[in-house]
Amino acid sequence: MGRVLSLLDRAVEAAIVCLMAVVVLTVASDVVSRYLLGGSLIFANELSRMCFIWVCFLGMPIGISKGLHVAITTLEARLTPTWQSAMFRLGLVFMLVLMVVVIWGAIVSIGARSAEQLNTIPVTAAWFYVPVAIGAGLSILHIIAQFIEGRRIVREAIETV
Amino acid sequence: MSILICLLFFAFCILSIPLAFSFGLAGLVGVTMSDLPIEVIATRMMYSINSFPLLAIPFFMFAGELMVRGGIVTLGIEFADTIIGRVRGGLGQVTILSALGLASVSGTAVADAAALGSALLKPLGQSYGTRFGAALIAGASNLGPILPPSTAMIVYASIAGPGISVPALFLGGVLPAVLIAGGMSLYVYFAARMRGFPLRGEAFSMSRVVRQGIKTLPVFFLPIIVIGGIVGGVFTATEGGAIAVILAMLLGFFYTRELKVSDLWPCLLGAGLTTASVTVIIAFASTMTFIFSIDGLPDQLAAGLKAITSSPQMFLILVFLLLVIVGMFMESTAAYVMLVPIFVPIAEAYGIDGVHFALVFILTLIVGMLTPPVGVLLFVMCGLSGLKLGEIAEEVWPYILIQFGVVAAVLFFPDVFLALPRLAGY
Amino acid sequence: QAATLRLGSGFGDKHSSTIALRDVFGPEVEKRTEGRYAVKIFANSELGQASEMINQAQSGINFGVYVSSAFFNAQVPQIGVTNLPFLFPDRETAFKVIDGPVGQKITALFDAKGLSVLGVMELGFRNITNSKHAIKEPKDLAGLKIRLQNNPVHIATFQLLGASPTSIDASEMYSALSQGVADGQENPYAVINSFQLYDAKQKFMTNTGHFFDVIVFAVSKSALERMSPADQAAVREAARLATAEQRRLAAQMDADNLKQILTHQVEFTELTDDQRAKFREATAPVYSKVRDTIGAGIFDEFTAAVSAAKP
Ligand code: NA
Ligand code: NA
Repeated sequence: MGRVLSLLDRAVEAAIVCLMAVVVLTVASDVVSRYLLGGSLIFANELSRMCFIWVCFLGMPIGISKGLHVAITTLEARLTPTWQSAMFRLGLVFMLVLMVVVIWGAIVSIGARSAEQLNTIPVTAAWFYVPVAIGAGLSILHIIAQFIEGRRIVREAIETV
Repeated sequence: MSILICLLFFAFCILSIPLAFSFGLAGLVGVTMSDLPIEVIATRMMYSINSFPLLAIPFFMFAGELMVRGGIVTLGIEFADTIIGRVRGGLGQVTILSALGLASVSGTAVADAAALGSALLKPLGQSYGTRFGAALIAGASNLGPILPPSTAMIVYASIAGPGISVPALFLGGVLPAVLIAGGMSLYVYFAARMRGFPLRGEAFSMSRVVRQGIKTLPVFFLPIIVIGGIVGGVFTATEGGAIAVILAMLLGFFYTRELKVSDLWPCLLGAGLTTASVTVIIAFASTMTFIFSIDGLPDQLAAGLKAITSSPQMFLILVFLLLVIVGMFMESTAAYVMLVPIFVPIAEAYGIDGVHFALVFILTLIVGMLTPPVGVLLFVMCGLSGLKLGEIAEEVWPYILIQFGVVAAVLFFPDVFLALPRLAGY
Repeated sequence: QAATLRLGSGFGDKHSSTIALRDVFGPEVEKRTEGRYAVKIFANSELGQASEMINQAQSGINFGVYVSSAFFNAQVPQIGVTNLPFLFPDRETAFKVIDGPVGQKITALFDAKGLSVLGVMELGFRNITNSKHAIKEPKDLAGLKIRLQNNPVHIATFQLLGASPTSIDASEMYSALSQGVADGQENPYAVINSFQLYDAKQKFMTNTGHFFDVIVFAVSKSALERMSPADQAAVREAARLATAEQRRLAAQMDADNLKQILTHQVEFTELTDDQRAKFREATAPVYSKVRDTIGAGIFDEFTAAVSAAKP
């Protein structure tokens, strides 16, 4: 399971990198086009928001796997390792419930919005919810893996800083 | 119900569940209690970050990463070092000055924290410790929404209606920003003396300043083009973020030549993940504030205040205290959206000057971005530094005190702080 | 214990739509259902963005929503026919058509999307402001960077008029105008006044009235149908009264807003009939474009109804 998960993470990271590049290029080209082509790129706003939402929700499971989400661990730090792992697992159960609700809501919304065309890019509004579903789904896998492991992943400082 | 939801949120936090998910869980309980379809959690999350101005976050994070990897930041800091590096705490003063410069371009604190953090956190950490550096950057980034332009002020004015003018608020923010920068600068000076921060670099020499200045000159084009482009009306503040990215790449590839194509991947990934760790909090927090709105929490607060006092001064003080507490627990945009429509008419009824009330209101919530446990700037700095929230909070309280001190001054001396907007005819 | 009917909107507390729904719809619903239902209004986007609030009404999370018809384009593209450039000569004609058979045919299309339209209100005629010079005919727009909504019909219209359409997020509109990223914008007087765009260099304004925007007040079909037939009728009647009040208020406030804008040294140009005809001519190709997107049937019926209703 660990191998599969880390392969999935790699794929998601690659997607995040590409989507980030698209966001930057879209907004920058919009500015250039306003001066060189005499008008805005009409799709820039919608496309960049769409990619931004993908980045945010794809980043959520990676954040869980790398321990990037801020938590207040004051109480946990004072417990014995056995209790620490028990409390950690309890928290994971709560998170699992939340993620199931999120993925369910995302799937319902994908269904409900799949006939609504966006104004300026040729896709439907359902595509705003696809990353929510993927992000919650991968989060569920990571939560289960960490539950089996039973140990909090110590947050790594983001390496480039 | 709102009170129960708040208590549950704290319970989840104490269980060491990450803040983002604690918000979501508290929101989920509220949704269930209100008999709402649970898919509202997913839709609220998606829509709360479906906003173009939020794009400034990844842009400035990415630009910051590029400037670090491309050696651009090092160049700028070496230059600052040659000027005031010999002063104790000099790099701290450089940080405050850079934050003021950045604030005159950007309208939000989060983007500033990301940009300053990626540029200055490492050198500050090496000189004065990461905790001191992270707290200083968090405190200094708050100048972003106080000094014009300010997204918070535009949001406030658009909700408050025609009575409040954006330029009047902008002008009202200038003096508080300058006072806060001055106060922080004094604090850094004394902290540096008392803690005996090491002196950096070599003794001051004019020829070194000139030599380093020439070497750094192209780097100055970055802020000049970005600031000039926004002020001069070439692009908007959010678009300026994308332009900063392009410029940082050009400088890194062709001027310092320290940036390699292979650096782009980790820079994009790092910026993307840091962005996500902030926006996921915004997304989940929105589910909890949605429940507060539905539950009518803001109306209850307003009714309580009205019952307590008939004095305008006392009302202002109560609003200030209430917003201090709100700012501790709530994301500020959500607070504007929920509270401005309720408090502005009450303030009017008390006969309080609209711009005066707006300044107290906005400044208090801005400082709230710095106060634990829910302080978005602290979250950003946690993300950048790898420190725990508590570790930054230990060092951040002097900045909170200084900033609340200035807000109190605005509260008690409206004539002084409204002089500039009035001079301009507002 | 009264059941609460939540209505969401992006409009503010002082907008005519919020006032009419708060002061007329709420009390009337309460009175006519003998206290079985109470109305609670969440203005200022308290419940979310416009498209989100529409979805919330569709899935019954909230009872209803009142936002610009533009936000319903995704659900009912046919509503776009109300947004043709220079279509209506005045608000009376507009509402005669919208309240008539073809208007009802369009509002009936909302049913298939889980929404019941209880009223169509006035958002207002959109007018151009800019920082450069007075606009009297299409050629005055040449090369001007006009900030527009991200709406293909709007953008096509302004391209035909020779302007450079610039899409800037609403949140950045004020600063973009005051810094000169865009030279001008177009909005109803109510928006121009409440955003104080005259302080953002917008010193020239023309009463182009190029689009007439309406607000659709729609509620959750399933939530409405869960009510007893008598209560449904009561809610519909309350909405009818509120809509009438809103249209009265909107007309009055439109005039007030114009007056207030003009107290801020704004040079105001009123188009003559000949000048307006030039604008209409220049933007005529948009009509066939819209006809292709929404279908000839409803388009022809609607435009014919407008011709018939003109004074
Ligand atoms: Na600023
Ligand atoms: Na706070």
